[in-house]
Amino acid sequence: MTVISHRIPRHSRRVGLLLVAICFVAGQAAADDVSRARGLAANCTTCHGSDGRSVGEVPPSLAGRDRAELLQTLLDYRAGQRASMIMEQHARGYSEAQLALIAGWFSRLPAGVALAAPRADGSSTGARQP
Amino acid sequence: MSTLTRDGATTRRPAADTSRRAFIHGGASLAAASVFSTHAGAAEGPRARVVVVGGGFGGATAARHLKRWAPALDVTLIERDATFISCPLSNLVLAGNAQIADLTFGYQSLERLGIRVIRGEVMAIDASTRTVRLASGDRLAYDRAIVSPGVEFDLAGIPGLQAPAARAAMPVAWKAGPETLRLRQHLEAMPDGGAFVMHIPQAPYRCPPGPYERACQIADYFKREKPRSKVIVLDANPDVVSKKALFMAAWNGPYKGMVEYRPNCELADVDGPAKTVKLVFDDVPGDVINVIPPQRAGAVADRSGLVTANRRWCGIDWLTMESVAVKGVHVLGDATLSASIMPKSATMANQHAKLAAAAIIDLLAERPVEPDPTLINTCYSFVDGVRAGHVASVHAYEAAERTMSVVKGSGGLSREANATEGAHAWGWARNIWGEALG
Repeated sequence: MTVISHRIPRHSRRVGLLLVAICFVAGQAAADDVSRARGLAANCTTCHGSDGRSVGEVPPSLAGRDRAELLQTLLDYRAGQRASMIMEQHARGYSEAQLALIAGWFSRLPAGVALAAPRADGSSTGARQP
Repeated sequence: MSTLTRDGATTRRPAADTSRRAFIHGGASLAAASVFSTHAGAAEGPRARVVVVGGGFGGATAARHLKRWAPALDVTLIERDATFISCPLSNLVLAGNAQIADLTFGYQSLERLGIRVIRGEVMAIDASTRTVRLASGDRLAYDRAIVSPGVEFDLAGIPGLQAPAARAAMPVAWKAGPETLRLRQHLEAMPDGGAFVMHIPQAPYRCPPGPYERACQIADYFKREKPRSKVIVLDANPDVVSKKALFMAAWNGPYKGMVEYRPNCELADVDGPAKTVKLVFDDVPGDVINVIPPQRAGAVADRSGLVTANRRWCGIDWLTMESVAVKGVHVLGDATLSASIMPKSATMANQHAKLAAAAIIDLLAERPVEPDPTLINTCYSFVDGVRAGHVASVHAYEAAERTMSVVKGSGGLSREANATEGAHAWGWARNIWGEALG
């Protein structure tokens, strides 16, 4: 029947458009999270090294660490349940959702060679291997 | 190359990240066709020219992160000096607790990353033609520019420090380099029983705890080598500006009787031949004189119309670090008009740099910028050759006030200076140097 045969495609077209819209919005939200995670993680790399790879033993590298372990550590700092010199003071500046983004970001980065500034003559100052 | 404007910044556009590319659909791609002509592959980021003026903690970090996060960008860094010398830790050089070579680095890795590094002096930025004019006469075109000029000393109120001979006799050493070594030589030449007299300008100035760390470092040196000598700290401020508890613990502890601190000392001038700091109500003679002058944004900021506050500092939009006075020019680091309780520190310049790099990439790709950015500060100060303490804070954007405020409950001071934090301080330094130049 023409009525039905028109109805079904129209309906499925609507569903299709809706799905595209949902995907786009969800995708954009995920993309915003990636962008936000990189921005938040950039707060940490001043001390912990670019891409979470520390040139020295302290502060420790964060790249490639287990997400759940990193997040729990940060939450413990935030709750004052883990002693530290400085990390409690920093962790209290972030929401749980922000700490989750940070933990997720560093867990997805591969551990690798830390990049140190070169000496004035361009020679290496001894970047640390992971 | 087409010049990108900020006009489309509020419309959503395809993103640079591959993670975003996965969600681009036909309609959006068609709508963005004109933008694609200015893009390399999405992962490469926008194609545009960014010129960075100043290769310190702000500028070098911004150039490196722009290139790493958006490899298709054409990034040029213009720096006056051949090498980078770190101000952080340079007080340790005065005490013989570090060598200047430990703090001196090259720009070679940035060149290997594909950043064009030009050694030169910038005369001004001309926003009307979007060009950077060098002292050599060359002009560089940009789509977005970054100015990270550091500070300039304001010697107008200190006639006695203006002549080159006076400056040689009384090195300021508030920018690490030859003056750091000269001040060290003066301290080494000083006989035991002498006095080091320092004057601190009214805040804001570069590195709030720096003068007090310097007092500790020189006391450490005196205690070791010249135990009958004194450190006299003349502060224009009504109290110790930063990390008071840490410094007082050192001055009342290991340096008891050696460091004399006097607040509210308004400077009148300095007399080099008489080796005397002249205060409004007093003259203070010494053997080694170190007057740290008041400061303002580096001169190129003023020549480019970027100075907006008290004829000293550059007002910026905290979402992008873009100048409030000159569109398309972003200002970083000590030269900015600081938000509340935001120090002029290397960490803060590093944080400004990454915020600006991310925002510039978004703006060039005609995407909205992050609406809720966060910055942190971490500053370490050494009280001797081994023990350090820190001050820390987390700053979040306040949309209503269009500024950054310290997140309630965040941050704080070390309970005490100790060797563990001394190791952290060196770790911080190696990583922040890597962020700029690695």
